[in-house]
Amino acid sequence: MFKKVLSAKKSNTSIRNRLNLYFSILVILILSVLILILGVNGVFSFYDKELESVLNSQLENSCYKIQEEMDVLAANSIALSEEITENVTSVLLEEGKNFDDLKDNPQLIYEIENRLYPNLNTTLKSSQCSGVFAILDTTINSNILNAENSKSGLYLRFVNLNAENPVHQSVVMFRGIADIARNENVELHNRWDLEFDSQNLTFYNDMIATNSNKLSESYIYCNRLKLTETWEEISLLSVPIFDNYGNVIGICGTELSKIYFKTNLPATESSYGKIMTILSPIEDDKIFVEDGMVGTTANVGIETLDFLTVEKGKHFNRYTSENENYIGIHEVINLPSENGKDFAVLTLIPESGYKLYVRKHNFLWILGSILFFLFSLVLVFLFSKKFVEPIKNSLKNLTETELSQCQQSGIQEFDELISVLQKKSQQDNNIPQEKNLPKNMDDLIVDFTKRVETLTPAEQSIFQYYIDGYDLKEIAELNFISISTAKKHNTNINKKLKTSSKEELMLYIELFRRCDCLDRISSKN
Amino acid sequence: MKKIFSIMLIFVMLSFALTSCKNNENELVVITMWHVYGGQTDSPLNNLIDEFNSTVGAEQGIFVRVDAVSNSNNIHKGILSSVNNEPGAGKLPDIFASYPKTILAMPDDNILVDYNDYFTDDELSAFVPAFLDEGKIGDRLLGLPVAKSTEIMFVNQTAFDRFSAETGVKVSDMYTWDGLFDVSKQYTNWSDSKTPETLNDGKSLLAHDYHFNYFQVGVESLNENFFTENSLNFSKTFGNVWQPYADAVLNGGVWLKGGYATEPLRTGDAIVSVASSASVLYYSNKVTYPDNTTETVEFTAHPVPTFENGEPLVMQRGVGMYTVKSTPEKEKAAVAFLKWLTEPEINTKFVTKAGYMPVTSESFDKYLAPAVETIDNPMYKELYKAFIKTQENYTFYNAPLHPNYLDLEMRFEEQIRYHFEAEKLNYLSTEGNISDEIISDSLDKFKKNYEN
Repeated sequence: MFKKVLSAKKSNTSIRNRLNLYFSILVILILSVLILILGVNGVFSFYDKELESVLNSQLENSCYKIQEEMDVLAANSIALSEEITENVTSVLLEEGKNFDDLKDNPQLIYEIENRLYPNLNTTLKSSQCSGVFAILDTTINSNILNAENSKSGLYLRFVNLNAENPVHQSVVMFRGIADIARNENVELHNRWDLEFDSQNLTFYNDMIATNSNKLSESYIYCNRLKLTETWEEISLLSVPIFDNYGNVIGICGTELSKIYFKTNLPATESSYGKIMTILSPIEDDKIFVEDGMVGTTANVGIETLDFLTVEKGKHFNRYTSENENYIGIHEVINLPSENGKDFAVLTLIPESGYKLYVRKHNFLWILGSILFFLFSLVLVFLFSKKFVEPIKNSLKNLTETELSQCQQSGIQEFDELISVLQKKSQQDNNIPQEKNLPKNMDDLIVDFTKRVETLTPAEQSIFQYYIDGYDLKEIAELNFISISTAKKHNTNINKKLKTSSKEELMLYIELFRRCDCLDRISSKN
Repeated sequence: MKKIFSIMLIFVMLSFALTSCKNNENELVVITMWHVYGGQTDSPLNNLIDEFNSTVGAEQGIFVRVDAVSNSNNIHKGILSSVNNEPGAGKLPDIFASYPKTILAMPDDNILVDYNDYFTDDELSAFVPAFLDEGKIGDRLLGLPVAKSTEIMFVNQTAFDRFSAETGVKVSDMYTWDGLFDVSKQYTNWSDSKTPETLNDGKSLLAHDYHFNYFQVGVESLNENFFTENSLNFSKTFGNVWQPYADAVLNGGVWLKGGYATEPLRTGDAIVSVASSASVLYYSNKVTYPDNTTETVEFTAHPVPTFENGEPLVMQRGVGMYTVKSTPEKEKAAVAFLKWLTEPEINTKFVTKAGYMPVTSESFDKYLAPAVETIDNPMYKELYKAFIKTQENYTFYNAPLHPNYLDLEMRFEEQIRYHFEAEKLNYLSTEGNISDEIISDSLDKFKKNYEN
């Protein structure tokens, strides 16, 4: 380019090409400076910052929502535990029994479950949960197989987990005495059973053995587990139940099913794709997704993952797995777990979605720049054409018409040039010595010119042949005359021109040629 | 100059094409669904949906998300509360499974996709015609069958054998309604006699999912119309159907509490059920008794009883799939999923796991028999044997698209159970001596209450 610019200076380049070149350089310079300024001002890392802001905002909302709901669930579970304590104590007092007498006493257990049903039903309908349960550390029949793990209690669940209004929801009994369900006009779950199997609740024994007698310090949110014999997965917020002496006699709490969690925490639309929310145990750089709950996603993959590994980043983190990677951020919330791990809320998007978005927008930037460049070039070509066109027209006008008849072009500089030329031409006409020759030479030329004008047309013709370089013989042939006639014309020519010989005549002709004045004596003009 | 403009135009078009391609790759069309296949148990349809999402769905950018698996009654309630904009009602799903009664109860069924717009005549001709008919409302095809069921009689064979051993009663005695009701009375007396210290604690033999269906199919099988223009036809034939039923109910032989028939069989409160073949999913081979002892039992399946002098008629059941109108992309995606689900091989795979009949002729002719051969679960084997007998010997009965069908059915179902709960208490003192007069009176009372 630089070479071209230099060569443009030297070579015989048209004004238009020069203009095209200079303007193109200007456009490239402006574009480069623009990109540099945008780059320095962080426009190209804008996406990272924007995504960080979006993720932060989503995380803040999710954390607030989950924390608040978990706090309410914990409070409701604690209240349920206290009500159960009160009702169990009341029934035992009425019957003159103590808690140990419940074992192998179906009638007494029926009395207690019957009394507890309204408490559980009210808690279920007044809490943001999908089910509610109360397990008493006793059994209807201690003589059956696996009796040590069989525990009496009630477990009520909503039938349609997707409905958002708990007041009119149908309730189904998953565990408990069937007659209670029938009295309450509640259906039995298709996988109903009379009692709980404590082996399915990994935290049961630890909770029963708890030393703390403060309910607010004893609740836990358990890892995700499969609801026995169904396709559903749940998490339980569990609280111990104490008797009047502070002994643990069972556990109770609320259930959050996977579907309920999904509908409660829908994926949020963003420019980068759907942002999903996960509540999951975390330890060091590992997120145990298999033990947590996943909000609505449009992606089956993440729900089947065992864990995600966290790679910390400047604006956000990368969460890697064997299959797909995600980007997002997380925050630990205050939620006691069954195994001492923290619970974290994560807001994530698939990394592929983010990359695609950035690629798409970078592509648009590049495309925009190219289009801008092309558009500028088109303007350069158009402007240069517009600029040169009147000049070319004026030149054409000048060549096609007499200088004196040249019209105004509308271009100030060009019109001034024409004006100067016209003045010069006028001077030339008034002063024949227009050529810049020495005075004597000029006089000689003017005199000789005047003498040439005295030649007859025939002599003029012969003289012209001499100018054109023919010799006497050729001139005679070309004029269809005899050599003697030609010689006679020569004699007249010499006489009129005051030359003594052909050599002198030719000397004059040469002089005129060299002085670039041949046109004055040539009849060809 | 023209060249430059052409190049620019190509650039712009290319960029739009490229960006739109990328969008399609990234954004899945999410289809939400409420269905009935496997509520509260392992869902065979959910497994198939996972298969669809990871194969065909992934290729076509479709993701089917199951938001609810419940029974048809709950879906019916959920859909109606959504379309009626009741406070707290959820958002309508893109696809839901239901009976035509739900559509008839809707204030405006124009919110549903007409499958005629998405299926060619050839595609529709692959379906069993009788199955398609149920989804037709006028000239529109709103419900698409994906699996069909019928009513089957399930017997807790282990418990029945104990009863049979002492009384000589056989399962074949229950092949007619009169026989079944007679056996149910015997069972109540027999079980009552097991605890002489407690009076009137005899157990019911029979649990029926829909008592309304017993009367409807019974009356129709005796060549009498069950419905009048606005209500039920309490004809003499109705009285004939009522008689053995009422006799057994008042004697305690029939389970009257609400809920599905699987429930009392699970608790040992009944040992025979007449229910949808699809309820096979919900039967467990474990019966839990009130003392928390459990028993592993064997179930057998049989065609439903008939009236001796009646036509062998059986209720055709099974919900259809309804698609809610939305955007053309979503509608196409929903239909793409339904087409996949009704492909003969996929459909057979689905129905044989759920206890249903397939919906295309090719599935019946080519895939069903080999698929049944590979079934390991003995209860499913029993069911398909009963299916084959039913298909050979019975005519399928489709409930009519009566404008008040739902109201008539729900009112009947509630009132008949309530009526006999009350009547049972009244006639408990008769010590099993239920006269024809008492039965006739009870019908009069029921008619009077029902028609009010």
